[in-house]
Amino acid sequence: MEIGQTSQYFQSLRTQNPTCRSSGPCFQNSGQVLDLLSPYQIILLVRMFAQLQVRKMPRRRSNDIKCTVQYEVFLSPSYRVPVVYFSMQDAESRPLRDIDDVYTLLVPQAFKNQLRDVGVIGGISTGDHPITGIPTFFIHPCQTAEALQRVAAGRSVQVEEYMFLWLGIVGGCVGLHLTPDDMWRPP
Amino acid sequence: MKTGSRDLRSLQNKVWEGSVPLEIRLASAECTTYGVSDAFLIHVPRISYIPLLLPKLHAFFRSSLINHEANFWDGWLSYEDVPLKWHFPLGLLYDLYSGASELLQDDNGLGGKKGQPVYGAEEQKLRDQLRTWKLTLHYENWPSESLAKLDQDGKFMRDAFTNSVKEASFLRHGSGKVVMALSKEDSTQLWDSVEQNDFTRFYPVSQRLFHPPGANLRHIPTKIYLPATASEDDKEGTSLGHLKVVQSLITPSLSARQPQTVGTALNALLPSLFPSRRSPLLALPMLHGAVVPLNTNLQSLAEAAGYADGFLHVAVVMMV
Repeated sequence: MEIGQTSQYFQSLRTQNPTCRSSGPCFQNSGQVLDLLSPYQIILLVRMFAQLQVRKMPRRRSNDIKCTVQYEVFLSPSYRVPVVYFSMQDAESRPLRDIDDVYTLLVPQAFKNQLRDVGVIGGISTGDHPITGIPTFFIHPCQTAEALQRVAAGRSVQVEEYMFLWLGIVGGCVGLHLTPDDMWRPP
Repeated sequence: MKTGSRDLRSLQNKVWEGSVPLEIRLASAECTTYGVSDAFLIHVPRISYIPLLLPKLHAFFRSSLINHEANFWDGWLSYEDVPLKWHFPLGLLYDLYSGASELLQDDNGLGGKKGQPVYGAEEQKLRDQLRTWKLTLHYENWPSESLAKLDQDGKFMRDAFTNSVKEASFLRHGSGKVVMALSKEDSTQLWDSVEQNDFTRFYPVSQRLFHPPGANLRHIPTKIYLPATASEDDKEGTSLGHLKVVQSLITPSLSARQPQTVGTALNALLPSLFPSRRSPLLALPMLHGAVVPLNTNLQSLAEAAGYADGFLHVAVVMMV
């Protein structure tokens, strides 16, 4: 999947405790760091325009189909880890709601089998968006908590690094890649 | 208050025997008889889900459908134009939307004070007066802003149920280990028991899930549902009949001597609606069609009256 970044923006990492970035809470279990953030607070909002190669539509003259993917990250009130919700629209801004489209268009080949084998219909489910209530795709967080614990256990981790660890584990499954340069910093 | 395990089992059994009376008609625009269709009357278990009802509904209404091609999984139900979320148990939907809760609060000459919830014998008399919950069945214009699509094999329904079971288990024990350790037979039996409304098949699996050896109860799986009238938010882009679902980490005890009650939990989660931990002043918690007294021990309530997924799904209704 090639990502043509026409526009890309982030909202700031919002926290209730403005001193949390400097005081650096210690990461002891997977929920502790994020206790500073309220359950439905939006952590990141990313909008990317992605040019995707679609192999399943041979009738089109060009194999490139322009889709929009919108990612939103929320803190799960139960699992206490970030959860990525995402929605897709085609070139005419019509929502793509078929889960097969997600696997065909968004999930990189390397992750497909891994993600599909989890649970009843795979690691990607549809659930009510935490704010709007609209059915939205999300990556099920049940295994994220344990994976993160293994990666960062015993170390002192700030919120920012925690988010990048999480992005590394989860984001790649749905084409969400960020670099430290992408992070907005308060002036 | 620790209830004996036999008492608990019989309480849970009662919850499973609970049902809601539905009166379902086909949307008039989709009906060949140009207007009001026949009514499908059924008592549906409170712990059941809409997708489990769809095949029966399709069989009944099929001959009246203008669109012969419609599949049973294209069916969706609405109450007064509000699409009903199929991943919510029917008991929860009834508590939220049927208006039965308002009836329970009226002074109707049964001796209850106006604005005070009715219990006991008066409550039973009132229940006998309650009419069926009238719903509309549709096969066209799937409301995708409110409902995810279903499939022929019921995979999406099972996925939603499984996710809920996992979440409840994670909350209870602080990790996914217990639910991951459940055998394939047990997982299948859990869902099958809901499909068939068979408590005797549910009970043994639920014991392994809710009371694994050596595990402490960390949090009580609870979700609180606020209909749009109760919630102060009015955000744009929210779906019709929008609900706010509130949940947080709720411990079984506040301290060594203070158990968590329904009142203490609601006061902590929604202080503006539940300013007092002991008396309802603005709103009432509803569970399985009954108003829950605020001094109810939350852990006991969860054990006796949880839904099949292990959650307490509590509806909040405003006091009249």
